[in-house]
Amino acid sequence: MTAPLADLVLVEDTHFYDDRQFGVYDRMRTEAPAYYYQPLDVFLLTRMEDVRYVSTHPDQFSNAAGLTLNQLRMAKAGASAAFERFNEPGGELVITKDPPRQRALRALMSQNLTPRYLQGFGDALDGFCRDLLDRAGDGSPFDFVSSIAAQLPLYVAAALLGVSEVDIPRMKSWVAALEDLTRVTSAAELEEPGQRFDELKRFLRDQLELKRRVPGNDMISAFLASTLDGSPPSEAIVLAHVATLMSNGGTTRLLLSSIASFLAASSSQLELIRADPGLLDGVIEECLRLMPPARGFVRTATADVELAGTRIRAGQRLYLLYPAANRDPGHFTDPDRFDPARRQAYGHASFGFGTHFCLGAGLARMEAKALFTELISRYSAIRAAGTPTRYEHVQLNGWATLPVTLHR
Amino acid sequence: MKITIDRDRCVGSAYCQRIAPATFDLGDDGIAVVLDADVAGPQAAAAREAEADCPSMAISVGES
Repeated sequence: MTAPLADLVLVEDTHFYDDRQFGVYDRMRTEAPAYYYQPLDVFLLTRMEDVRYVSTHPDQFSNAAGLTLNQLRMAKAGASAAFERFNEPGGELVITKDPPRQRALRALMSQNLTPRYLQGFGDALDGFCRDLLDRAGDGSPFDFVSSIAAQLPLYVAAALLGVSEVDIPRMKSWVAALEDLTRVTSAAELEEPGQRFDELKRFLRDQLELKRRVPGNDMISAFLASTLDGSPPSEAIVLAHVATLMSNGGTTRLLLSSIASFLAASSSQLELIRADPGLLDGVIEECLRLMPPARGFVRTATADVELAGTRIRAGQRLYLLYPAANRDPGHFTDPDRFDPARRQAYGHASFGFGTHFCLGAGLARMEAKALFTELISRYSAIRAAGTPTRYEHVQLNGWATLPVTLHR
Repeated sequence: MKITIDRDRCVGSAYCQRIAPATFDLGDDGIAVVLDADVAGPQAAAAREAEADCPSMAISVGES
């Protein structure tokens, strides 16, 4: 690969993210660890130490001025204002804030996503996994993404939020709308998902009203009972965070599918886990590392700083490229190797670092563990049943379709 | 050993609890707590590993 890096680093193009991306990252790490991507005035970070540093210094690197490459592109096209219709006045969202406000907003959610709280949903989760696998059949090909991976997070979100299963098909279309909002390339494309998003807001307002009248053991009731600045959080803030919870089903869908694809690619892996169920945790972490569901996030420097030998001015952006950091040979031995027993299994960047560390990490891992524990208890093999297709998205990473068969 | 958790930095990832369960747990508020700082041998090594792997650098392990 002797072409100039500038010809190869095409991070706004979804087709860049095939297997060739990793060779490009290797060159970036050595030639330009803070690679200046001129079209969006952003430095692309490919080394783990730099990704970790930026993530853990929110006083120097802000979340408040854009989080995705698509947002930077829309801002450059003058289309940011079109997104404003989705922001309720006062509807602050934790991921777009910096400390100290970010910590207060995070505390609203974190109590309801602790392992202890989630344990209470363990039985329901196991039930969902059994139901979904019951429908998978034995030996006939099906799409793992639509039949299982997309469904489980929806059922879990509905249970956590105290939403009736009857409303799950509508939830599914709203979650899809939220994802579509993240990949629009023009203001005109916002219209249709925007309408679905408006429906979601109306639905959530109704749910809030129901829970106000009859509180239950669910996260909406918990939000309504919590305090922010000494009083219950505003409806706008609750809406923003509930919508986020629902939409995180997307990254979970991608994780569950990637695990299935790794198991299908290695004929022995499933048997190894059957023999040693303790391996499943490491399998999940290696899938997270090698195929991070969220590919990266933007930060904005709030002061001039030097990073990776590069001068960055206040106001310039940095992009934390997780798939690159996760294969940094300075951090992982033999980084391209799928090794569930590796010592540094949890050291990947896929849930981020620092104060914005993924709030849903425990829940995502719990879903993955429950689903694949159930799958492995029933089946001795999962095999590819055709060519999978990639999800064409700049920020979200994984399969759109994954045809497989399951065998007892 | 002297083990402290910076409550402002802790993000409740529970990595510490997974790596060194004899030493760390998560409280009901989702923030890590030190169960027992008097650990030695492999448990002490695990506590140091938890310090290194904490995603928000919230753990501090030192000699008493």
